[in-house]
Amino acid sequence: MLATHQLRAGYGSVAVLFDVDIAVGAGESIAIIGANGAGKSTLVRAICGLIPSMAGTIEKEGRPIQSLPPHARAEHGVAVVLEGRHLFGELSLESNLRIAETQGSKRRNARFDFSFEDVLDLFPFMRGRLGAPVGVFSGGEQQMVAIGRALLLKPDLLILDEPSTGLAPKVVREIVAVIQTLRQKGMSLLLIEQHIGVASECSDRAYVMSLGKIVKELDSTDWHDQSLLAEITQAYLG
Amino acid sequence: MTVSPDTQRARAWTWAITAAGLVVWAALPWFLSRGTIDILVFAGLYTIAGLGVSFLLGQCGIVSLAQSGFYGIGAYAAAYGTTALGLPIPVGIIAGMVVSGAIAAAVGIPVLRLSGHFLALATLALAIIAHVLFLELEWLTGGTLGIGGIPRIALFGFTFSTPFRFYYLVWPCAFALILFYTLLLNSRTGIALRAMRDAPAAAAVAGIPITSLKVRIFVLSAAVGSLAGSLFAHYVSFISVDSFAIDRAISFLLIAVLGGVRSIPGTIAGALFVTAAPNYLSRLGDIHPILFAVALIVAVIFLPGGFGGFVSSTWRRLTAGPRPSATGGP
Repeated sequence: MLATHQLRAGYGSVAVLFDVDIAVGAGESIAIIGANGAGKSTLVRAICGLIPSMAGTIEKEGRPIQSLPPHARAEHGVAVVLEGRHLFGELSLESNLRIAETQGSKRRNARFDFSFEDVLDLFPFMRGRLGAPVGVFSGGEQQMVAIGRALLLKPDLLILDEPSTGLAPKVVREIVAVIQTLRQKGMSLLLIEQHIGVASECSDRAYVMSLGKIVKELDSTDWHDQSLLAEITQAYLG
Repeated sequence: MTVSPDTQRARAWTWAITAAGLVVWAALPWFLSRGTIDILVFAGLYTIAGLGVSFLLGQCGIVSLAQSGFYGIGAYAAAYGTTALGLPIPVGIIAGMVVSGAIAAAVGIPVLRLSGHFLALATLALAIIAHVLFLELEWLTGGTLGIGGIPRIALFGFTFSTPFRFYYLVWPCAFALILFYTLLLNSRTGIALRAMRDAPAAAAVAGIPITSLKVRIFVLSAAVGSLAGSLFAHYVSFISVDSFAIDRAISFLLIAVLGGVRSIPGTIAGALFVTAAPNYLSRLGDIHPILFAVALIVAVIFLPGGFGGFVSSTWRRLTAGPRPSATGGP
């Protein structure tokens, strides 16, 4: 579905990512964990095109996308929920969603054909609040708007950058439930998460990042081994 | 859609005030001197050119100092098309808009990738280049001598030959463009623009083609500036290179900022200020440029949102405030 080869990227002329190789298979959910400053969000920004790649390739189903602008990558089925949500705060909930719907409608024969109604079914709180500006929503609600907006782009790969950050445990459970629903539907996911428990629960395998590099790959067995996770937390996230 | 009583009342008042404004607008020339009407005609021309600058700045965050160039292209297209080539007036006007739009597109694609000060400087360079070309391409522009004998616009046998008559041509054009830009702002494109302004990164990953959207708004702005220039040429019937210098570009930017870049109708107030204030202040003698500058500074300090921003914030307080009786009264 998505693969990076020897990807190098950063800000200005300063590289932050070095030779990053990751692969997300069709229908797979992959987590990337690492301490603050490990380069996780930089990797997300490089994959969705918000920062240019300096070297290496990013392939979506075998097609190189590293030189495309962000909107063209969205048309190739790569959607992202950025860290900190980045909603269009002045606009109503409906406008926030319709913008994505308009762009998503350009994707013909999308595997996951989320409609406006489907998103309202997934997040029932949205019904009745379509006219409200999203700036007044709670943190959890805003996160759900950001996810709903990304789904309306009809992606086959959804990237979630720190979806649980700053949310109450009850709200985190709701977000986890949505992620599990998407996994059951067979959508490919790339999950960036500080909270290792949530990450392990929501993904098949994981990469550990440190100082801009992939330092460890965890297969399905290791990734769901609680004692090993405690060690990794100590070594890389402490 | 449900509409709150506050919104309904605000809408009713908006319509009432718009209607009253139109009546005043239509009656005004009957009570004013020829000189004053002439100023109002220029205010109309500058409103049109200023709308392009204002929308570009308010919605895309792009400071354009190139508008004097497009204003000039429109004027010379109208002048050359009608006098040298003998083309019908609408052909000249449309040719100017097409040329301006094409130049804006060609220049915009590389230039609009720049940001902030670099972008403003690039548009300034564009205006300077245009001014030099207007001076040098004598076969086209007449150089310093200019072009005279530009025909007046006539519709159904009625010639817009005097300030009084032209007033009723230029302002409907300005009002139509205000309506057009307002509709654009509320269209899907407008919502995409507001999204881009709110959260540029999210807009990009939500599939909005940022650069091409900015280029399209720049092209529109150039075409609108060109239209104003063409109307200007047909109004004064003689044009020379002096009308298309950098100070004109700065006037258009001032109109946008004074009017309030987030307010489309506010552009009218900006244009009235920029055309009328120097004229009235000049009666006070040689001190008038200083007074104009002071007036500008005061306006920018006390009205950071421009006249339009001031009116709309006051308006919101009156129509949707905690004391709704404020709009009523005995």
